[in-house]
Amino acid sequence: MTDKPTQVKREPVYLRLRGFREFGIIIFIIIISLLIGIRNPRFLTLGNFHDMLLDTASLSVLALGMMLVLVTGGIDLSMESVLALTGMVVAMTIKENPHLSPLLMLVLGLALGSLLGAITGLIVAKGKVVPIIATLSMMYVYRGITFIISGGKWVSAYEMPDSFKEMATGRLLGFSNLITIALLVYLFFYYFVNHTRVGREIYAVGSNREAARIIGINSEFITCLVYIISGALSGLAGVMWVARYASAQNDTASGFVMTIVAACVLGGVSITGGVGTVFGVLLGSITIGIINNALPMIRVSPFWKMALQGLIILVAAIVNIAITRNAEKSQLRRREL
Amino acid sequence: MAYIGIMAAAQTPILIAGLMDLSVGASAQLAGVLVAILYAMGWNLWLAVMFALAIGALVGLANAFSITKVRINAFIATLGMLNVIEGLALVLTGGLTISILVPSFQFIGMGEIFGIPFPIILMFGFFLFFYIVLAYTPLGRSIYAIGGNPVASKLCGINNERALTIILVLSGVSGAMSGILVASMLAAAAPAALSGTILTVIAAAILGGTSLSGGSGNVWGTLLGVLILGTLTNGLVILNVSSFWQEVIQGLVLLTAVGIDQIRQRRRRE
Repeated sequence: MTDKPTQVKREPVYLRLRGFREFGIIIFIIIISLLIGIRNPRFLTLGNFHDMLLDTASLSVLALGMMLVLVTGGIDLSMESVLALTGMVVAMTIKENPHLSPLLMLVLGLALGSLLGAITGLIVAKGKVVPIIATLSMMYVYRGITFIISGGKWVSAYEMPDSFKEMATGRLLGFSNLITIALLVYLFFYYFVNHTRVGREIYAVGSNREAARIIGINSEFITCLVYIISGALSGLAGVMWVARYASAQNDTASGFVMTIVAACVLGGVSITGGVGTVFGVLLGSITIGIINNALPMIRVSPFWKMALQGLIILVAAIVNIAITRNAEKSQLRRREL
Repeated sequence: MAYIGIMAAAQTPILIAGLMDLSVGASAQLAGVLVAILYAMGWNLWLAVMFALAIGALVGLANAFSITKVRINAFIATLGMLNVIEGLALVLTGGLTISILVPSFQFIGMGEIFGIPFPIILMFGFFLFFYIVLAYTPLGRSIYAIGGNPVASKLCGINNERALTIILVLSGVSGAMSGILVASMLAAAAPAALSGTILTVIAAAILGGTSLSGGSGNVWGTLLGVLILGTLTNGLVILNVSSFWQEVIQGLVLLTAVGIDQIRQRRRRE
């Protein structure tokens, strides 16, 4: 952005914004929020905005992990089961030892998640199994283990201490703790992805594995690492999820992986690898959050909810494509100048 | 397992072309629901079946439009479509299961010809059809070319859009057919009976050696994948394995099968 030709500075603001890749999804978020706001003014209140972010917190953390895997050209279908398994382990631990600090539970979630992610990562990186199959298998395995350790039982709200549930209900500077956690995760990964060597290597491996290997990047390590990260973030999201809904079930988040991928793709992450930004994923998650939050508010029957969600994903994808194409065109034009 | 097989057979050329059709399972649900509802409204049963198949084709056409014309990523386009039609199936039934008790309709799911169950014949028919298409027609060859390198195939004069449209429409029809099959086996159509089958369908194709990145694969490999997964599910039930352990074992066996395949391929290369 530093070496822009002088001509660009004379362009009006709206033209300069066109070159910004996330522009499409931002426009989409604004338009849909206004439309919903017209139908139900309560949607545009700060309180509702806060609730929406609270519901999106765990999704946004998950989507970040998925993004890194997608950037390397893989996919992690096991995230939803890692979430369920760590959620269950954490809930059972806190049930037996209610005096433990919630912070310790977050650490436990991260650690267990990383461990589960490392197993998946080794299978993909060392075993050279196609990611979709390896992670699909681990999705079954981890989900099965969840059933086995819990014996098919739930951990319900009354079995959890208040200190643990406060993780979701408590507020810091007016924001729920869960939002703060998600925000910290995003800040950390923004720095990690854009300003560290390993972060950049993830993109290198995703864009061209062979070239990355030749310039000396340990692509096996990077591949393993992204699964460890996605596991760790799933574990974290598991603790957040259990705290938010105050219950741990065996089928927690079952089928949620599609939503995670949708959030990523809406945010401009490419399924084929190499492309994706932290900011884009955040916007993608918020879009999904808005859709989930807004449909009940404008009194859409739950039966229609699914169909409308699909339509909105399609529309957002189209808007995103139109804007991206436009951005690429204007970038090309600038180069010609 | 026959209904998985039919969807997997149609999914194979799509994966070979480097795309993915996540909406087949949902097309199947919609088709079953449509037959049940139209029959309850007094339509002729076979007319309703034809109509459901046509709607399946229409879904495929809509997918093809958003993928080839609007240029939405196939994954997200069919994911959106999945939500749309699964939602429609819910809206149409109001979330209820509708029964279809017609002896002649039961034949599709329960009938036998020379002692062979009709669903199996149907599944083999689909596999044979897609085998012939892929191996012996210009369309099939161009699908491999598109999967290998879409730009090169276009420059060679292949009509990418037309080829992709045809296989996506075929996939929609196959999805509808397997939905009708399931409705006939259960003598009922439930709006959410088949959600989640798509992962099994894709797993079967990948197990059979079809590459997710496109360009290689064949239907007989997919058939093997379907048989492996089918034997596994059925075997675990017959062996009286606790349902808690079933998922763990299913995952591990899947992993082992692919692992062995990987080792074999590496040896062959060496």
